[in-house]
Amino acid sequence: MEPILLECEQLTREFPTSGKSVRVVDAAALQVSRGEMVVIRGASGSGKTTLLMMAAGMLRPSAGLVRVLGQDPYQMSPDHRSRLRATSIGVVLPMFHLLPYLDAADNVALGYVGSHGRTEATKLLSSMGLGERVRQLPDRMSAGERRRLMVARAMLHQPPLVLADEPTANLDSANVDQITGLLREVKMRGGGVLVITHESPARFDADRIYQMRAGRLEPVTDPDLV
Amino acid sequence: MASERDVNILAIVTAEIRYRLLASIAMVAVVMASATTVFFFYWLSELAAERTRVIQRDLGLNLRILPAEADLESYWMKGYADGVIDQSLLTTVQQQEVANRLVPMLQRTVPWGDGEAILTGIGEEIFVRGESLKPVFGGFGDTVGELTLGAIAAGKRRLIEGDRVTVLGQEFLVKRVLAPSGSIDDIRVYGDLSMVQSLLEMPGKLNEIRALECECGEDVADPEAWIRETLEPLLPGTQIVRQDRLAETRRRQRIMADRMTTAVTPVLIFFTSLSVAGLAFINCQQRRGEIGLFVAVGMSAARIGSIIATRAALLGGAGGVLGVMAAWILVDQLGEYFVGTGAGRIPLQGLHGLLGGLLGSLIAFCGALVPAVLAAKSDPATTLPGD
Repeated sequence: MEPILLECEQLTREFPTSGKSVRVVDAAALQVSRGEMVVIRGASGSGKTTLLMMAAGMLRPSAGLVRVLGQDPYQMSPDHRSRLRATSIGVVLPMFHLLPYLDAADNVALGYVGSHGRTEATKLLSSMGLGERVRQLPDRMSAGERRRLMVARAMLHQPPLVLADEPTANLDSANVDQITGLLREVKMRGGGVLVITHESPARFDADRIYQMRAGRLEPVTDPDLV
Repeated sequence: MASERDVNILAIVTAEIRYRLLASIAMVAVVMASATTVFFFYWLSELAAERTRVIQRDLGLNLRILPAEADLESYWMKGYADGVIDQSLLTTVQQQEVANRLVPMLQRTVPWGDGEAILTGIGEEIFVRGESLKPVFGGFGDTVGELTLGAIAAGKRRLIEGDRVTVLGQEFLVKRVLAPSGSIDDIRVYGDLSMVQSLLEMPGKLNEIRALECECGEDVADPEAWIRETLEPLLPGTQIVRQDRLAETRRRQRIMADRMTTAVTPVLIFFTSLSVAGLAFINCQQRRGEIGLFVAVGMSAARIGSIIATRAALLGGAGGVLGVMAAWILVDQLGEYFVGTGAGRIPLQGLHGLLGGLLGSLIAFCGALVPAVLAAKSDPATTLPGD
């Protein structure tokens, strides 16, 4: 088994803005190994989400290298890259990206590879305390419930690598504990987790912490300074 | 416990159609309008072509096969040919398939009352292609003992329908009096061929075979030469007269009508496809974020394509079938208004519905495909809404 699940080297992303380009992520270097929880913190607009998107194979970097389970997703066809996400990466997207016309269970099972996706989704949602809500449409659910759907969708296929962008936003303390517990389970079973959060890294039992400032990723050696 | 059904493509598509009912209805309506336009013009062209053929038929005949001894100067002066040909030649002409419609005739001038009339026996028309069309001398339906009179022949003798007249010593019922035609036909007295042959004591004899609707195709450069080459060796004792200018005009007109149909239909399909593509493009742009989400959660290109194709098949297919039905109703109601009385009817068949469904699905699929492929190939981070 590949010990390093995610590896980013000199990862850079620039966006063109009115004739000039703005560097949003600047030569970021990062690793997530098996059994490891890595937390990234930083102010809004510092480039955290862009970094996570590049790591998830969802945004081609301007420069630098990404490896997921030893493979560069950007050397793959879009379809293979998509399959990599479906089998090996669980992505918790930062916003409520749910299809408004599918119920909770179908939204969670949307990208599931294999049969019985809805059954598995129903089981997972029940274990997360949403058993009564599986047939609800997203717009009939609270922000906290929708956030948990996003997390459930990322976890359903039990990926070795989970990339979560603000997975506990809009959640009360009990639900935060539930989500952090799910992410810790991934770590416990030998997976790797990269979390972007404003919560205390201690709640995630983080092994390493990074701070993002104006596109630059810096390791934090003393959590109290965060 | 929730249903155990899996998340299949049809479930996703039908859920979306229900959720976006108005947009879905709009899509069906646009495809329906396109299919209606295409089928309406196609069928109208068919009716117009049929109507053109009928009009051409009424203008005159193409070929006249006359006895060899007939003097053409006399023929045009008297309105019929002297001499006779054997009725068996009719079969020979029929077998050569140079004309679709054959009319056997026997005509002679006979004394009638104080004057004379052209007694014209007309046999049952023979259709080489097999399909029975409205006869050239339609509506006579004369049987033994009945005559149809030209306008002058009847007017001069003050005869009307239902009167009884005597010709060559035999009494007949005047079945019908024709409207004035302004031609020599106004002094004719029409009757069944076999009856006239018997009356003139000329059984099995004809003096003219009229052949209508030349079967020479567009590839025949010189129709007259082709017909003479085909027929003359087989018809001893005859001569062939062709009304060249009229026939050639009709042939060209028919070819032009065919070309119009061939040219107009693809143009209509192109422009209607363009309108549907525009709607689908706008729709797909709105759904770009959704396709981005499909890609983000790891859905394969084949599955995304299947969703788009299923949606196109359902909405486009429904629009296509409805379009065919609407076009048929429009043609049925307005056909005669556009192409004239006697336009006939288009028989609605299951195949038309199938074609409409396929056309609608294809239009909707083509309209949705390009923007969907572009969205599917983009980085999902750039297509997800809000990012």
